[in-house]
Order: sequence, then structure tokens, then C-alpha cells
Amino acid sequence: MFRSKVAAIAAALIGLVWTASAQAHPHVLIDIKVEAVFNDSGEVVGLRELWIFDELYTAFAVSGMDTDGDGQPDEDMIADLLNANMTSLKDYDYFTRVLLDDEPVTLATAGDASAWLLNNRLRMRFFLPFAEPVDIADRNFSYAVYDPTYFVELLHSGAPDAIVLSEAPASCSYVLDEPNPTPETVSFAAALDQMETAGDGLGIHFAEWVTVACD
Amino acid sequence: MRLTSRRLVTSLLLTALACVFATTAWSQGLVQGSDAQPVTAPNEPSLWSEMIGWIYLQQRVFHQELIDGMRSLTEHGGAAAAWTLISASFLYGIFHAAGPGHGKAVLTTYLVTHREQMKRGVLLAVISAFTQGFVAIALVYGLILVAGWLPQQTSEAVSWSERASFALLTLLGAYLIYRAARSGVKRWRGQQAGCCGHSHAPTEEQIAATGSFRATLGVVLSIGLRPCTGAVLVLVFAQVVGFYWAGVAAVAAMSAGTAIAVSVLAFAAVNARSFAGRLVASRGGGWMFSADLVALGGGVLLALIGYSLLLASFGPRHPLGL
Repeated sequence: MFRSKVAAIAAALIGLVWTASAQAHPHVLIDIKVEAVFNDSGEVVGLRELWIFDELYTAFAVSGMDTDGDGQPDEDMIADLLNANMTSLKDYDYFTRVLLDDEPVTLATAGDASAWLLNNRLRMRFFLPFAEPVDIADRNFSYAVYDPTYFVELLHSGAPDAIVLSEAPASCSYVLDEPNPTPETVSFAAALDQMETAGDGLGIHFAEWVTVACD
Repeated sequence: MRLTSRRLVTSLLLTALACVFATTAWSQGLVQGSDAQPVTAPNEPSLWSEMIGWIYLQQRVFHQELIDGMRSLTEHGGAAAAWTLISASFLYGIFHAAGPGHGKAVLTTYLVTHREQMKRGVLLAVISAFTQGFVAIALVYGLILVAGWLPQQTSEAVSWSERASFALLTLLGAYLIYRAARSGVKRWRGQQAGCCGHSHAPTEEQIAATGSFRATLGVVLSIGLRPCTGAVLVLVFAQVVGFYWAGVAAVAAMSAGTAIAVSVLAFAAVNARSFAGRLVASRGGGWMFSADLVALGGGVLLALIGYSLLLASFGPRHPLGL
């Protein structure tokens, strides 16, 4: 009786301390627009992505870069920022995950990148080619753009051109699946994800998945 | 009687072991995090896990509110916009503090394993919360306005401040281990001497008073030296648009929100400890000795948390450079 009470209290205290070690998310919100780019044979060759950062991150990233006072960050400074971001994002596959019949599609190095400021929000655009063009006819093709640590939240913008199937065969269409995190999955994942900058597993529960089908 | 205290000591040792095991597993998780597979939900969601999940969703909502508040303040200005920003910051503070975080792990571990009066425990929570806000303001405005740094350069200073906080936490843990061990040895010698028994050993109150100031200062600084990312982002934004006072007001409101939420946690922790203490004390003997053991376990846990966070802070940074 006594021992079970002590054990119960000990368990409660460990639980208290344990869950207290995780971290809060997210701290950066990014609106995205994604274009699935098709080639002449109707295969998908890659994704063209536009990331629109929130005002707080923008202020953090680009302030002090407008030394000539034209309202835009100086070209050389924004180019440095863009290069730094593209280089470090490569190790994370640009937060992009592409699946063909549940198998991951290999991504190449992104190119054709540019960055600029519009309405106080930093925009970054790049083309992310697949290692090889992917024939998606009658197959299950989907992608998601998310930060595994959920430090950053990336969601498709509400604009009509948030998802575009570029040069796609007429039979192609897409469906966006909203993330549906249940409190249980979130809290369970939170226990795995102890640091703002390390640890995986939380972001996927808040990821939007886009499935493209061509009949 | 002897049997009871032996049982008790065994339970407490098991507690300490479980703490160590949990922390070790957790620090390994830090290192191996990138291999983690998508997880499936546990079968039975507890009330606790549902609450954490809900808090996560609220944090996201209030992050957006904070951005909207800043936007409307810069676009329209005025008292209404300022009030919106401050109330959003206040709620942001509450929900960030109500969710899991490093400061709360430190505070609860300390209060659960060390005897503090309720008033002191709650005061500790409040002072830590405001120190955190003050450090964010001093770092960001100090470096940008006084030293002329660019906002993006401050992230390096913030990460060194974080490392200082983790190093201090490790030292705090080591200090608490030393204190618990010394007090345990004194008590043991007192009992060995036979005569007068406990009169030679320091009383619980004496122990609590000795070096308690150093320990609480350690708690406050190891929490406060790590500014919250949300506060840093809001301050940088306020500085860029020239609304310095709005940044200070927003961070003060955040700290107030954090202070309230963490005070509730401190209240629970002090109560839990005194309840456990009463329960054990009612069984007689061994309690004084076991208090040292629990304090020792708390010190070990804090040192491990500090050390693993310190190691992780030298690991890869987030790719977007925050």
C-alpha cells in the first residue's frame, strides 16, 4: 500500500519532468506555392517551389541589407542569404518529400534559385529536379513540403495558383490532404522531439500532402 | 521500522535510476533524432497527452496572432493595435509556458527534489520568466542598437547565451550533487557518533537555508539566459519597423504570461514534494536521509539535462539559420 503510493508519486514526478523537456513549435510560418513541372512525354521532371516567409522571419533575415535605400535588399547581400539557405537546405532535401507508390523519389540539387522582398515578406523560389523524370500515369504520386522538426511550418498558400500542374496532360488532377494531427500523435511525437533544432518526427503530423493523378 | 526505511530507500533509488535512465534515453534521442521514423499513436491517449496536444495547437494559433498583431500595428498604428499585440503576446507567453520546455524541466526538477517554501517556489518561477524576457531585450536591443549588429548576427550571440545557460545548468547539477552528498555524509557521521543523534546533524531548515541562494540563483540564470525564439523574433521585428517600445511591451507581456503559467507548475511541484515528504515522514525514520538521496537524484538529473543540451547546442543548426 505504502510502496504503491510512493511508486505512484515517483511515476507522476518523472512524468512531469519528462514531458517538461520537450520544446514548443513552430517559430516560422511559410506559405508555399508549388508547380509540378511535366516534360513533353507527360513525366514529372521536378517541382518549382516558391516560399513566402512570414514578416518576423523576414525582418530577422533581411534587415540591414538595404544599404542603398531603394526598398529592396542589396543584390549581393540577398544573393549571399539565398546561397546560404540553398546550401544548408540541400542536406534536408529542401524539406521536400516526393513519393511514387510509397517509394521515395530521389531529388537532385535545386537550381534556378532567386530571392526578393515583396510586401515585407521574403520570397525564395527554386526549381527542384528529380534525379530522373517520373512517369506517374496510373501510379500513386504525391509530395509534401515540411520541416521534420516543425520549427518551421510550411503550408500551401490560399491563392488559386498555390498548386499548379505545369504542362501536364489534360487527364491530370491533384488533391490536397490537410494535415489532421490528433492530440495523441502530437503529444507522442512531442516526446520524441526535444530540441528546436534537432529531432525528427513532429513535422510530418502537420504536413500537407498533395497527390497528383493522371489517368 | 528498519524494513520500512530500507524499502523506502529502495524506492527512492529506483526513482533516481529511472530519472537517469529517462534522461539518457532522451539525450540519445537528441543525437539520433534524424533517423526517427514516422510514429504511430499510442493506443490510449491520456488526458495529459490530449492536453499537451491541445496546447501545441494553441501555440501555433497565437504565433499567427502575434504576426497579425505586429502587422496591424505597423500598418495602422494606434492604441487598439498595440493592445491587440500585447494581449496576443500575453497569451503566446501563457501557451508557450504551458507546453513543454527547457525552463520548466529545470524548475520542476529543482522544486520536486529540493525543499523550498511555496512563496519562494512561485517567486522563483516569476523571476525566471522575467529574467528570460529581460535577457532577450538586452541581447537583441543591446547588440543591435548599442553595438550596431545586424539582426541576423544576433543569433550567434543568442546561441552563446544558450550555451552559457546549459553550462550553468550542468554546474548547478554538480553543485546540488555535492551539497546532497556532504549533507548525507554529515548525517551519517552524526548517527555513527551515537550520542545525541540528530542534534549534530543539520536540520532540514538549516540545509535548506545553506547555499539555497546560490542554488536559486543558478536556477534563475540557467532558465533566464536562454531567450525564447519568439521573443527574439518579435524584438527584431519591432526594431526593424522602429516600434521599439512595442517590442519591449510585447516581451514584457509574454514574460507575464509565462510567469503565470510557470507559477502554476511551481505550485504543483512544491505541493507534490511536500505531499510526498509528509507521506514518507509519517512512516518515521530514514526520511532525513532519503531527502538527501532525492536531492542527489535531482542534481544528477539537472546535470544530465544541462550536459546533453550543451552537447546538442554544438550540433547542426537549423538550415534556415535561426
